[in-house]
Amino acid sequence: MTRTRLRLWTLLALLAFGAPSALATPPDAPAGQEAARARAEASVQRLKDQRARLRVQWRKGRATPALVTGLATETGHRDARRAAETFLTAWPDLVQLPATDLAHAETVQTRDRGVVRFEQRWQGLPVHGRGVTVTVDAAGTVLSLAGDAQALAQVTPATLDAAAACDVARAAVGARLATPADALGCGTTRTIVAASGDYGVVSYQIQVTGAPALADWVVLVDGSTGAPFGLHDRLVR
Amino acid sequence: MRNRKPFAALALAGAVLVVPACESDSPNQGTPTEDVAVDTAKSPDGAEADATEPDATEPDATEPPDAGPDVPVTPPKLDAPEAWVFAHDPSIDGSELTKVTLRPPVSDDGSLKGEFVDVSNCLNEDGGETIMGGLARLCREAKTVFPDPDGHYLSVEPPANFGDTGDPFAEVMMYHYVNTIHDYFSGTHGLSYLDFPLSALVNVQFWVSADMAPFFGGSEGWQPFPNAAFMPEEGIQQLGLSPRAGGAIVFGQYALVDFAYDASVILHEYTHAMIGTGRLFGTLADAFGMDNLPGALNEGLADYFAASLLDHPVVGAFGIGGLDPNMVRDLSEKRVCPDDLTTEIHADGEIVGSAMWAIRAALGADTADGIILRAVQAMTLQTSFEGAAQLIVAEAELIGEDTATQVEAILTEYGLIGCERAKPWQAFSAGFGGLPYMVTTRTAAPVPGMTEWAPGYVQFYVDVPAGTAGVALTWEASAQQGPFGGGGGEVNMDLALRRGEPVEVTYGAKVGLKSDAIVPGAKAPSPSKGFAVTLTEGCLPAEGGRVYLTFLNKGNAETGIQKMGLALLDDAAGAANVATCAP
Repeated sequence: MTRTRLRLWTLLALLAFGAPSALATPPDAPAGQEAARARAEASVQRLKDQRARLRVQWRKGRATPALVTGLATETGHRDARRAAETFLTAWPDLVQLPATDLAHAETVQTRDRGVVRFEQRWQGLPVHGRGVTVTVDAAGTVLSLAGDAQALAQVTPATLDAAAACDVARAAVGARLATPADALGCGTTRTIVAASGDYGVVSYQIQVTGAPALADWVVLVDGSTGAPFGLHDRLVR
Repeated sequence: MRNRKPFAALALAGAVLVVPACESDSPNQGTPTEDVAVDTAKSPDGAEADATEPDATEPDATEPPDAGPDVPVTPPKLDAPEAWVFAHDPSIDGSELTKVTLRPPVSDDGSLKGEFVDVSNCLNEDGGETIMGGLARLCREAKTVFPDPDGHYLSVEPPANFGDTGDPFAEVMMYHYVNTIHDYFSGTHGLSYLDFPLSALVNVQFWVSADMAPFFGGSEGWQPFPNAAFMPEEGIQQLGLSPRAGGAIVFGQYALVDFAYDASVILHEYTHAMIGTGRLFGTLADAFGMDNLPGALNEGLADYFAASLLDHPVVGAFGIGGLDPNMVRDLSEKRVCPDDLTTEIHADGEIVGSAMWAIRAALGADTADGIILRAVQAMTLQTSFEGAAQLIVAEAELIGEDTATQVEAILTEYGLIGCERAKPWQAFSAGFGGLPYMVTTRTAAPVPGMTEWAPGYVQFYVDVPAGTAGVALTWEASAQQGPFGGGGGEVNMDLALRRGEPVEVTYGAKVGLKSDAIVPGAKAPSPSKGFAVTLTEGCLPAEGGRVYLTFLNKGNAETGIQKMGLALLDDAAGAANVATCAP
């Protein structure tokens, strides 16, 4: 299958199974992992042919590189975001996500660098902790690509509502702090997709308030199983 | 120009200091005295140091301290007002203060609100914002520093009693050092996204009600805050405090330790604010297990920039050292991955900090800071040691091939490049006050589907000689209590093992393992308090070789491994808790 056909197939599949309550069809099913990796490696080789100093870091279980540094790819755009988008369009096999699954999150501009962050999305929902970061110099030359994104082969919808998830989150923090859960409340709640490899589940990210400490506890609640995970304090000491 | 002078008196926790005579060159300078030994527990006038009572001479927060009732004084607004600060902290500088020029405040009354930092004192008085559902409240925020009649701030000096919970000197320290690092990051290195007035709070304590007091281990009243922290914007709101754009940095007052007196702590927390919550934040999970090294990178970089700006490799000599001298971080002491991995992010940050310090020694501060700071901008939530190292090398390459070669060699030598998160299983004791190897819980795992266990942050390995009949592994572990005395539980951990290569955690709808066996942890025979497993037969490579092991925490509490032991057996007969594995 050509790449164009594959992407068309993917797009059709997303349209057909795109409702939030349905399971998404994978852009690359497990059987396609090796092919996906081969495409990414071919892109890397082409970049290496242009730039011998290229360094690439791969992660186990991922088809696309975690980090590419030593790039010097001119884009013709001095605007960092346009330069980053141009690069991602020119080198799709380094990320292997449809453009609709990457949303521009922020561009941090310094004197000699623009750092452009894209958040991975699944049907409009943010995929927790995943995205792509492109660093561009002041001339619009792409210097590095951090690929923290990965296509999701299956996404399980939520059966739990946010109120029930709040109860789970309060209980989890209460158990962690040995504090009665009814003394705790729920603050900002975001619906997200939590991912494990190429699997995702619609989940809730819940800020738990009222903890007896100077802390900012956040819990993720699996919208399908109701299991709490990702419990952490966002204060940095 | 930086002038230096000693200040009047100094009371430090755990030390008796000799304070030299003062120079009387300040408008409000105290009376010079002969050299005097100051007892740690007493202020110079002999009164007991009291961490909960503000100094009786504390200035009125609503009025400039030198404004007389009959003669209103309007100090001139100076372009270069001067003030005294510690160049580092009281433990490094002793009794010596350094005169510095402050960035002019933008406030009408000369209080310490500037373009890039808004400093408030936190007074132990009624009127503070209510937090924790009304069961506690913050100290009352106020500005207590105003210019002297001549427009300078030289009358503000450290209090005689470092336990002062509302001293103005903490505000001056904070104002000066936040501006210093802001101007370095923004002015020198072009990080203009820091150009807003970050909130900074000093002398922070909390008043807690009788209902809440047991959680703090005290009684109703003001509770000390033995720490400093960067609070993201969202965290401030959840506490019930009024919103502060960009978050806030907060500095506690604990007994005789005022965290704002330690310039390295201020610079460290500001670097956390610069890094923010969009990168190097939180715990990851990868094929090796849990990975909290992004947090260690965050800590190590915060230490590095603090040390680099102060041109001194020791971080937290006063602020951290006042709590536990063993926790002070000296970046000139080499730390290497994986040998020095502890699973605690501040300690593991020393690997990063010491590597950066070595780069600084090789390239000079300006070049090293620039390379590292530009690399930080490209880091993400998932940047590993290896990734951070590659970004730094890439920035070094843009300077020159020789520079890159030097940097790469250092990062390889310190283990940021090529580090496998595995350590030899050998005799180990965290000791009193030491750091156990932590194994976190399923609820802290950052991925769904980890329903049965959570793997450790590091794996361990045993190099087994050919012909070994058994490998006896022992360990002692304790389930951690919650920060307020609860939340502990039974230790419930298994060991996963794999011959020849690391145990691999796999991700998907259900998190799994590639391992050769999972061995239940079993109580060691009495009188041992710990656990014991003896690996035999198929668990060991027939021709000898390496066996990797990782703990799997099945319990509900984070568990600390306090002790480990190992014995290679020629004869496994009679060994404790023998485990057999399919070959």
